[in-house]
Amino acid sequence: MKGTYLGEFQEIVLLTIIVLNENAYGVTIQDEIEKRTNRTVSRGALHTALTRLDEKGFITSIYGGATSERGGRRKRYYQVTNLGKQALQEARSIRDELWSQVPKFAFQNI
Amino acid sequence: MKVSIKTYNPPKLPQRFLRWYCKPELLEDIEGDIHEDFNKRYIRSGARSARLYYILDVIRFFRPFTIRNFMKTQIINPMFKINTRIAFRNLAKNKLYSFINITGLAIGIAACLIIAHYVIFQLSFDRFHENAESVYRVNTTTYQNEEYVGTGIYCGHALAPALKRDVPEISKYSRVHPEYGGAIMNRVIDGEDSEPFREQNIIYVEPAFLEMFTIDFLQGDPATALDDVNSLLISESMAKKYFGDEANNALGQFIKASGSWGNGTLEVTGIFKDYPANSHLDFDFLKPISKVVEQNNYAEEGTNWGWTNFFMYAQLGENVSQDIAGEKIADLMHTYTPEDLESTSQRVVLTLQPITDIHLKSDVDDGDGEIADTKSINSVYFMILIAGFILIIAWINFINLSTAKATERGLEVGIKKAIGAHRSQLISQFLTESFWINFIAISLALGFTYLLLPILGNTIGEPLNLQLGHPVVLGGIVGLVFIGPLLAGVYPAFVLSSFKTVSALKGNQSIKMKYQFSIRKGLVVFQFVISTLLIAGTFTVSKQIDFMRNGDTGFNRSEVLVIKGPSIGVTRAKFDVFKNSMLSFPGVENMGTSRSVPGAGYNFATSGRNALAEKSTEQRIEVTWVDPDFIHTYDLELIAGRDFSDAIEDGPNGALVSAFSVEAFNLGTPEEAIGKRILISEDTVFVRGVIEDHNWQSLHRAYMPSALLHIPATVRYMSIRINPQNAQSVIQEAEKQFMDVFPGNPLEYYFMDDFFNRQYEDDQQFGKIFNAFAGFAIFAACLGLFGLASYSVVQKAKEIGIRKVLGASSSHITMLFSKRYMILVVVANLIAIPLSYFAMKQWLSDYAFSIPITIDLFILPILLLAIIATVTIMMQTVRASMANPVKNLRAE
Repeated sequence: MKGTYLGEFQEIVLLTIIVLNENAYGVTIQDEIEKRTNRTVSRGALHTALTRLDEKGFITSIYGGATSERGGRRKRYYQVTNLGKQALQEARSIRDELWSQVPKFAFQNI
Repeated sequence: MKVSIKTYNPPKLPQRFLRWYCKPELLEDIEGDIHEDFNKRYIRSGARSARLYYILDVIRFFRPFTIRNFMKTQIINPMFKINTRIAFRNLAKNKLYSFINITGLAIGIAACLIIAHYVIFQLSFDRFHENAESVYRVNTTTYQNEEYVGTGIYCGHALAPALKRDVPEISKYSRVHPEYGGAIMNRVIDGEDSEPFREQNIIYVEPAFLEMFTIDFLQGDPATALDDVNSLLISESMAKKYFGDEANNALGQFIKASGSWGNGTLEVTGIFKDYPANSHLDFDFLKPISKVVEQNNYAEEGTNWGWTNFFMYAQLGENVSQDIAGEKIADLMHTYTPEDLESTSQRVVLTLQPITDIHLKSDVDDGDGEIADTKSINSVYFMILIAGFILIIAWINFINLSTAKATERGLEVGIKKAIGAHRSQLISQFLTESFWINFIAISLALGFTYLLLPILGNTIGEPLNLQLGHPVVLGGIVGLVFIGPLLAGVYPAFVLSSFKTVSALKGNQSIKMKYQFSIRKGLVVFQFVISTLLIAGTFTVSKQIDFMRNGDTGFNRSEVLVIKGPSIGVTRAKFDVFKNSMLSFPGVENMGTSRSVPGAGYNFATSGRNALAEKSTEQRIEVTWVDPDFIHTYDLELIAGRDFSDAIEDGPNGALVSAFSVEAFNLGTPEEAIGKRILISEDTVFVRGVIEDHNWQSLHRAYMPSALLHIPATVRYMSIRINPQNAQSVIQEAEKQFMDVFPGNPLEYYFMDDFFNRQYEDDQQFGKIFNAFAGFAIFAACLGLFGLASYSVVQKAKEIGIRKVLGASSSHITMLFSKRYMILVVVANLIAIPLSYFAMKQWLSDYAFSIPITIDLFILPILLLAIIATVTIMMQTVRASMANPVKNLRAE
């Protein structure tokens, strides 16, 4: 399978979608990430990431109802697929494993 | 459900842009997000900031993953295939129109490509030097009493070292000294002289010259090649000329040079690849400048600044701008030679001219014997203009013929629309057709260009070849493939696809056609305006050239044979033998000698003034030495005073000045001027006689003060007036006598009229190129007219039939159909006359002596164009009017 690798930003996006649960669409995802990570996220970058995640099959989307604040356009709600969740788990376990190997004294003097 | 909040409208233009580029599947999502954000920001920070961010967002979304693939849709689109098939069927169906369309376009494009090559060549001058950007020529601009006198390139040999010393920005310099008058050269093998040749393209340069200018060495070491005073660098083809089969071993061989500047036996220390044609310099031989400076009295007091026979190139150091260095050198002449300049109230400004500007933008006045190969940038612009005109004519043909076919295609369009075709589909069909026509035309044009370029190259005497790889040419072709069909195809495509379904099917297009026809008429008029302009231009140019070649120059230049004098073993006694034997030969009427002849420049230009006038009234005066027989040989008319026939061998003999100089120096009437004194270069000379004004050089130049000084005899130029019947035998006799009396000298001779007219080579070239392209344009315009006329005749076949049945005569019908096109030609002429008048005036203002702009310059082109147009139209209308009406009426 092509590119199951999960980039750092993509991982954040996936997690954010899970955190937002039912209310995950473009604007809210962006806001949430900005709020939590304290960094500005460009909308283009976010959509690039969403498109890539979609291509990898990590997320699916369904259209919600049209709202007037979007000029009559529908919201596209994202959901993390099982494959996506699996990828998150994998990424996490790799990390955990690495953390467990880190010698304690490495962080003593920070 | 959310509470409905007030929403605002984002700016329209970015929104449309987004919708245009964005992939449809992503559009709703992206557009919605941006819109939502827009609304929030609108409430939070106001309209201005919201709009700005909206625009920014739209631009930031312009990323590879959002942009839909425009190319892919076109090529994969099966319609493209189908449209292509339809296009070729249509081309095959209307063979004549296809032919006219494609040839017309091909000619237009070929003309453009050819001109592009010409322009590229002209612009490429001196750009091949590695240091092209940092090498400059030092020019001298002179003002007298704050009035502009002229700009020249010549300076004394002391200038270059002085500038190098005072201006640290100059990193290298090279003085250049031409071998004035050329030299006779021959190979020396084992002390024996081989066959001599006369060479003109010799320059003396510094060793640094080889570093500043890019010269490809085949043999020898550029670092040391010019170190020895007797070294000589020769070009590859000269090596072949002098050493033949041994050209490869020419290094270290000897060549003897006999000229006016640096004689002796020289050792070949380098062979360089023939210097490219696209440089303002032209040389076959390079000699070290030390040879010239150490000899020839240049070491004497006063020659270092006063003998301005040198010119100078300077290379600026890295990161030094022309402005900074230019500012520093500007006034330096006033530090070097203050007294000279003050006493003549002159101001001299030194300027740096980039070598890449010399060819097209030389600011040196013609009069200063510019040895460089220069052309005016205007002639390049002019060519671009003509190329544009021809292309426009070709495109107009295309548009006219396509819209003319409209009625025929109307039915097709109607049916397609009736079964559900969108307008955009029809437009893409017609654009596809236009694309293929353009594509075929460009392929043809490339063929034409390939065949015609060498011919143009021959005409201008420069190598021109198809350079497909050149970025400009390549870009042009690619541009034409894509832009051409759009430019020429859009209008017809929109017109054709705009038909209303029902009326198209009914064939009821009369109202629409009327409107279109007026646009078509406008375009035809435009074509003919350009054609008239070009014909009138051609006519003016050829008349002016004719005028210059055959016009009165104040002396008789026909039947004069000029022999370039010998330079080896010349004595007065030998000369007398030669002269006497020539004069005694039947067919020789007179023989005069001079240090220069008309068309070869004057001997030197210096300052002159009335001896009684202030120094500040000095003017440039051109001086030439002639013997007593000279003015009779050339039939120069003496207005007042005496000629040189009773001159004494060594003594003040005065000067023969031209009538113009008498006026310029304020000497009164010609009779009053006799005996008055003028100062030439501060030497007092009395006026011995006054001669009629004459054009010593080309008619481009206005009269200048000039004087002929006496010399008992010279061998530089020997002019022989001959009886035309005996021309051949005189030449043979001259050859025989010359070889007898001056052995070891090559004989070079020419006829004065040919030689004088060689000054107009540039003009003739221009004329020829202009003629050719005017021909192109007229042909293309007529092709269009022919197509239109033939089309309207086919369309009106029934009308013609009915008229004939009802009793109209053939001539009547011919008139009826020709009339409407003739009106167009007349209208075109009315517009073209004032335009061409101004164009002619502008062009002729370059010439000091020009033809008057008379009415016949307009009448002839108009008549010519009318005749060509009439013939074109008649070819069609006559055939139609002669046809059997039954044939046309029966067919349904």
